[in-house]
This record gives sequence, structure tokens and C-alpha cells, in this order.
Amino acid sequence: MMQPETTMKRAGGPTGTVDRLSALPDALLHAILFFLPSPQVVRTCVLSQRWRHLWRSAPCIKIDEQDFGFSAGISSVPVEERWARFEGFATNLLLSLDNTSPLDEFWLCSRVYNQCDVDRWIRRGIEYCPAVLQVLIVGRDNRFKLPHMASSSSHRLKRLRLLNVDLDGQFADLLPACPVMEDLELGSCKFSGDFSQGITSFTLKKLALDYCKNNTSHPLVVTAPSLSHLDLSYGCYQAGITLSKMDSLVEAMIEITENLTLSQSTLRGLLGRLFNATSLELSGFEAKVMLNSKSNILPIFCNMRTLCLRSCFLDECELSDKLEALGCFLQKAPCLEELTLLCSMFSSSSDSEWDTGRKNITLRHQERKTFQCHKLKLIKVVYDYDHDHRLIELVWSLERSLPDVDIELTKEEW
Amino acid sequence: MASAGSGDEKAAAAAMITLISSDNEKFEVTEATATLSQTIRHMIEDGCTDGGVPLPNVTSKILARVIEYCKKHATAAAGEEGSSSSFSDAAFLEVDRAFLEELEEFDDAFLEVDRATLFDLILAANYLDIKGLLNLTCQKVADSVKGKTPEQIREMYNIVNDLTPEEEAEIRRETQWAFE
Repeated sequence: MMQPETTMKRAGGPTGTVDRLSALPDALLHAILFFLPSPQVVRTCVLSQRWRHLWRSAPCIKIDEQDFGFSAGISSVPVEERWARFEGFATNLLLSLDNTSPLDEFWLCSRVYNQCDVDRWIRRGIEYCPAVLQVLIVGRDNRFKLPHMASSSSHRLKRLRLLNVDLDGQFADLLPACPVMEDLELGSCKFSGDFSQGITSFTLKKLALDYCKNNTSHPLVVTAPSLSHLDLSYGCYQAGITLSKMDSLVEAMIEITENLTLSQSTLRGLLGRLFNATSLELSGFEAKVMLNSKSNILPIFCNMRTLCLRSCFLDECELSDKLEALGCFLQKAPCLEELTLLCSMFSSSSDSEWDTGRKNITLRHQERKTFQCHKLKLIKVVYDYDHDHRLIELVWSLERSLPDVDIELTKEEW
Repeated sequence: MASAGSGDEKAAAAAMITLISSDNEKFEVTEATATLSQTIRHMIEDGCTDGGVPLPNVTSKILARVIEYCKKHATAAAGEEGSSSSFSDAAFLEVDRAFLEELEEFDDAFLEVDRATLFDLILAANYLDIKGLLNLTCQKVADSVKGKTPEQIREMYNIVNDLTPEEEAEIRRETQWAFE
């Protein structure tokens, strides 16, 4: 809770109306200013004595190129001029802050029009020892590298979010120097350098890797024994990615597409490391990853209560094979209570060649293997379009393979 | 707790907490609703809520509104916990999306109050430590001044300019980089 501070008691205005806004304690005025663009926050200094220095002690500093006409469509002002104004603002702001107390958050969103400027802002921002640091680089060339961060300024860093940053050796040194780091989010970042890169943190609880690239010739090694949430989406890890020590994992989400260059064995390895999770969401997995005879190397997912497969098992093989693959997986999840099949098992587009000739189908009363998944009570099937009786066939087959389970159908409207 | 059960039938079995406003009005709420307030949550954890929780900083008028907010958002929180996963598939499904929209509509309607009430809500949210409500109300104030000139803001909120013209000129010189 924010501590109420002693504030100047202010008399009403000339009309007898009260200035409730200025009467709020500093912490609450800062909570309001948080929602305003930085230039306007500074401009409150001319409102009255009460406001004169308030902006200097703002606990959250946001430096955003959007406030200076970048990324807001076409601007008649030339880019050099816009940058000059942006640079003037950011530099002056960072020099004028009251530096007696560390920042809660330093947030920078900028293109790298001038690397020296951006470096300087980040270095200056980091000197205020922020608890949250967000560096969002606009542009996709991943060439921007974080300036060196002294370990004295990373001791409070709890959350770090980087977008479009080249993570070289500098980054490898950064994490171990953050004793309270809990939340790391890397978007469109590139691991580079000719050495093994990794994410090692004993305090990290949440990790999100979104569209990242590993350009080294070594697998990316994640060692985070306190990690409870993992979100791994897309990206390119030609040399692979290895999860080690995932003992505390609760929720994991792995999202892959055809573009994600991970071998099936890497994927299986990855999956096998998530065995502690209570909730698992997989996107884009193919049946063959689990169907392969080696799938028995998967460990028992002894805590898993919910499993969501999103756009999974869309590869071109028979439904019976897909069910076999699903069954293999379910039998490794003795505590699973709920399974969601979200646009999975059959493709919503029916234009593939193998898919033709299904105007009439027969649901055969053939021997179908039943799966052992004792705690599973509910399967939610969410589909967007039922092509050629695919949905009917799926539900019918599920019902035969898992006779004790309720099936809930939802049509997703896009 | 004589009147326990008078509230929400569904939560009749749940523990009830009595909140007492500054003007001595009593409000019976479920623990789930009350614990949206971190301040009350700590009191419950410390076991000092028997006989009611006096809230000397909050009037009955404001407390009623705060409770209205907490009830709505406690239901939302419960829904989240009960759903299959806290990951995005929940937000993905039609039902959840509709619920989020409804919650947003509720928040918008909730903020349709006069300025004095808005400030009272901010102070109450701060005192009771209800993060969602504090953000919601602070954002409302911020939105009302967004893009406005200092003169317009002074007029809107009755801020008396007690800076001498010399002082104001000096401040503007010092912070010229923010006025360009």
C-alpha cells in the first residue's frame, strides 16, 4: 500500500471550490501521472508550487519515441528533427530526475536512429537501479546490444523485458548479477556469439521467449530451478534448446510452427523436461512427435491436471494414428483432469489432397484401443469448422477410446 | 455474525466479514469479496476481523461503491481460478471473452461518477489497497487531463496557480525541452 504522505493543506480556489487533485499525496499523484505520456508529466511542473518538482520524483520513467511523432503514421517533420526533439527530451529528463531513491521502472521504447543516444539513455536509466527494466527496440534487425550494466545497478532488478536486442556475451554476464530477478521476457531477441549461451538464474520464476533466435552453434541452455512459468513461442533454435532443472515448473506453454527449427528429438526432449508442470499448453505439435516409437522416453507427468493442445496433430496422418499418439501422451499423465483440443486433430481447411472423398464416411465399429487416463473427466473440443465429418469422427472416436469422459463441444467464432 | 447468509446465497456457507464505514453503517460481505483489499486480507490473516472491521476513512456511500466493485471483480477472479488453465486458452474461448467484455463494461459504467466521488474512490482504493480499483480510478483522472494544456488542467481541477510570473517563466525555461 502506498503510504499517505504529509501534504500541504490547500485552501479552496477563489470560487470556494476545492482542489482535490493537488491535495492527493505524492504517491497517488504519481499513480495518476503514470498513465500520462512523459512530456506531459514534465509539463505539470507549471501548474503550481505543489507540482513544481513532483515529476522529478516519478517512480516510473517512460521514454517513448511515439510521444515524438515516431510510429504514428506519416509525419511532415523530417526524422532528424523528430529525433533531435526526442533526444533533447530523453537526455534532459534523465539528467533532471531526483536521484535520491531508485526507480520502480525504467521503460524505453525507441528505434536506434543514433546508437550513442540510446546507449546513453539506457546506461543513465540503469543507474537509477530500476526494479523493472524494459528496453523495446523498434525495428527488426536485432543489431542493438545492451550497454554494460554494472552489477551495483542490477541488485534490485526483478523484471527484465527486452525486445529486438542482440544478446551477446554481455547478457550472459547480466543474469547472474541480478540476485532478485524473477521475470524475464525476451521478444525477437537474438543470442549471438561463438560460445554456448544460456539463461541461468536461481531466482527466476517466469520466463517468456517469444520469436527468439539462437545464432550460436551451441544449444541454448536454460537453467532455472525456481521457474514456475515457462512460455516458449516460435523462434529459431537451430542448435537446439535445452531445459535443465525445471523442478518448480507449474505452467508451461510451448508454441511451435513449421518455421520453428527444432528437431523432433529436441522437441521430445523439451517436452520431457516439463514433467513437473500442472498445466501444459502445447501449440503446433505434430502427432509424430509423440507417436514415434521413442515416445516412451517421455517421463510421467505426475502433476499435470490440465492439458491444452492448440492447433496440434494437424499433420497428414490417419485419425487413428493421431489418437494413438494422444493416447500415448495421456497415459503418461495419470492425474490429468481436463483436456482441451483447440482446433486440433483435424485441419479446418479441407483443401489438402489426402482429404478428399469424405463426403460419405462410415464410423466403423472396429477394435479401438482404450486409453488409461483415470482422472480425466472432461475433454473440451473447440473447433472452428467441421469439414467432411471430421468433427463427428473425432468425437465418436474419442468417446470410444475414453468411455468415461464428458465431451464438451464449442464452436469458435473468429 | 447474526446476519450471516443474508448476502449472496451461493456464498452463504463461505465466511462472511462485516465492514463498518466511518458513519457506522455495517456491510456484510464474503471473504472472497473482502480480500480483494490487501489491507483487509492482512487483517483476516492476522485474525482480527471478529466484531467487524472498522474503516474510519471510508464513508458508507463510498464503501458501498467499493464493495460493488469488489463483488464484481471477485467473481471474475473466481472464474479465472476455476477455469482449466490460467493461460491464454481461457481468454481464447468465447465465454471468457464475453465475460471480459462484460467486466470492461462494468468498469466503464462504474467510473461514471462525479469528480468528488472519483477522488473519494481513489483515496479508499489506496487505503484499502485494492490495486485494480486504484489503477482504474487513477487512469480515469489521467485520461481526463491527457493532451490538455496546463491552463486547461488548472481550470478543470481548480488548481490555483501560486507561482509568480517570474517563477513560472523560470520553470518554463528550465524545462523548455518538454514544452517543444
